[in-house]
Amino acid sequence: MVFNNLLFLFGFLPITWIAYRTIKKPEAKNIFLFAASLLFYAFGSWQDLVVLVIFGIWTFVSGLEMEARPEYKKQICIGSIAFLIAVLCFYKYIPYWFDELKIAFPIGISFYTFSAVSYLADVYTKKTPVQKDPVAFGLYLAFFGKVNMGPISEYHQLESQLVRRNQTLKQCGQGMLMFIRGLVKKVVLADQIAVAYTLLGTDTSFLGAWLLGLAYTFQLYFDFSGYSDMAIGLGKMFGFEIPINFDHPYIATSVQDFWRRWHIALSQWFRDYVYIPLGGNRVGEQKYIRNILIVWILTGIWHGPNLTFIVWGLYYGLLLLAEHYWFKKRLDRFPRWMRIVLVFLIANIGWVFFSNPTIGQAFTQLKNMIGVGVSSFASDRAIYVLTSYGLIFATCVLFSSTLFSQLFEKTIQKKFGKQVWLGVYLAAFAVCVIMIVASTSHTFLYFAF
Amino acid sequence: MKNNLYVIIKIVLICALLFLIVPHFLRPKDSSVPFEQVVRQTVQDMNMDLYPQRNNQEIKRYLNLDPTQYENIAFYRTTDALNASELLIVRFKEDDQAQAFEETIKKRMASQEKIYSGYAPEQEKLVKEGVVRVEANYAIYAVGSEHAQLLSQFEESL
Repeated sequence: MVFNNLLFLFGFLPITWIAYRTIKKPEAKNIFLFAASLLFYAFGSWQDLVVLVIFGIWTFVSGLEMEARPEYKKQICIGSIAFLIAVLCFYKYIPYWFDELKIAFPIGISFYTFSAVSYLADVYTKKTPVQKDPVAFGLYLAFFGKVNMGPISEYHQLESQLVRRNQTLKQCGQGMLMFIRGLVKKVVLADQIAVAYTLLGTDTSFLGAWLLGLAYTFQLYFDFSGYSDMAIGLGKMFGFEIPINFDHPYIATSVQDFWRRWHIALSQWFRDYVYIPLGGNRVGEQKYIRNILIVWILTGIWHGPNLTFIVWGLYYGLLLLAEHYWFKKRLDRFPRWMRIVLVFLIANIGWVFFSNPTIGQAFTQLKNMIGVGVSSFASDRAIYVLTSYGLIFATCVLFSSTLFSQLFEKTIQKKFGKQVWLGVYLAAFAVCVIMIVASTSHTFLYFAF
Repeated sequence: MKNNLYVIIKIVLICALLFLIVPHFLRPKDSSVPFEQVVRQTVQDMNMDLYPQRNNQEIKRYLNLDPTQYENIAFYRTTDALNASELLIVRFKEDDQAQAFEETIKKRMASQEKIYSGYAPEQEKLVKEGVVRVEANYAIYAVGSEHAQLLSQFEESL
């Protein structure tokens, strides 16, 4: 089941929420929410659910085993993580290398595998105690708000919320508004810009190549950050405080700043469980360069086995090194707006590798973007997209910055009060529902990872 | 005791995972033989004059299948309404189409059986003996006195 589905919006979510609020005992709340999460996940496929349950029991048992056999703690931790990663690789990469082996990978496996690894690493490093309650642990791994596409919450961040959550009505309301905001990002912006992206798929004009790149840049952001907002909003509705996953990445002023704002949960996971254990930046220069490159190649590989993802990861690894050693000080001398534009362009080029199925196609688009091998300056299709979708592009630009939300939220809330403000949200929700009913809504891009 | 329990649980989990994964290796591999060649070899030595190929609209009408959903599709059916013989060969676009395809064809066979049961027992028998077989990315549905030969030639062609 997905969040932008009518069955979820008008069936699963309200029923689960009302039933959850009705239950008084925290233990019973957890059992109910865990069961509902498994039901939510089983809507996709029962085989996927079996894999999730196997991962859950494996990780839970490994935690108990580490506690019971402290002399073998390291071996148990490494062995258990190796098993999880091996299964992840099997589902994600084997079908890519062996065409004839057609196995659909379980939705969300990349996300919940990393959550499971986070638990084992936290227990091993004594950051958190072993979780003895299987339901609480199951909820950490399978909570329906984040099981499909994250955010990958690190275990120590959620541990205190797993057994008992003090939920206020205010928190619920904030969660609902955040969910609607995410839904608007997905249905109104990402899905509309996706149409422009599809239209420009084969366009080889200069303008077409740039619009194609821009369309993907915005589609990916509003799709994934929309999902993340919905996940965090759902978390709030059920008493969880899931950390934010996006913080206006397209107004970043450096590459490092960009990665502090984009897919924050994944960056933090790699920082805490790969980069720091490797020594982080408290090592010699050569090892620091090695650590950065390892982290970024792994980040690329996490997204998929295609060479394009590895090149994309390497691209950011090298850029971060270049920024650290060479152009950070020069960059700081530029005015803020110029740095934002530059980092936005860097992100745009990165997404060209990310969005194309082959390196050859990525380079063809890049060549077109610098005017090499183009069919024309602006094809009819590119002009059509620019004139028809110009408003959507402009809205995407405004929503990417804080300016729009600050002005919009403050003006309406201050001038007209909270009732009008809530009315705006309800109207936005109604628009989303109409668009979903009209079947203009698409699946989430990050399901592919 | 507890330690042994953990090991046993993990072995059971690995077995459960293998139970889920191994069938993927055992399933037949996709055939790369071109669709036209499969059709040609399946119907070789058959007199197809009495079984003209039907168009997409007729596929929808007779079989309740959407031809655009498949990589390739070929449907042959006699012009004689009192004859139940028909042949369908498809190549799937996606793996998960096979199950829905089989279900739709089984519904078709059940409905045909019902139609012929009252007045044409020999045609009813043909429908009952009819075959639906999925072979990786290809599938065949054949009803008629020569269904066994069609099936065998279809399998050889892949």
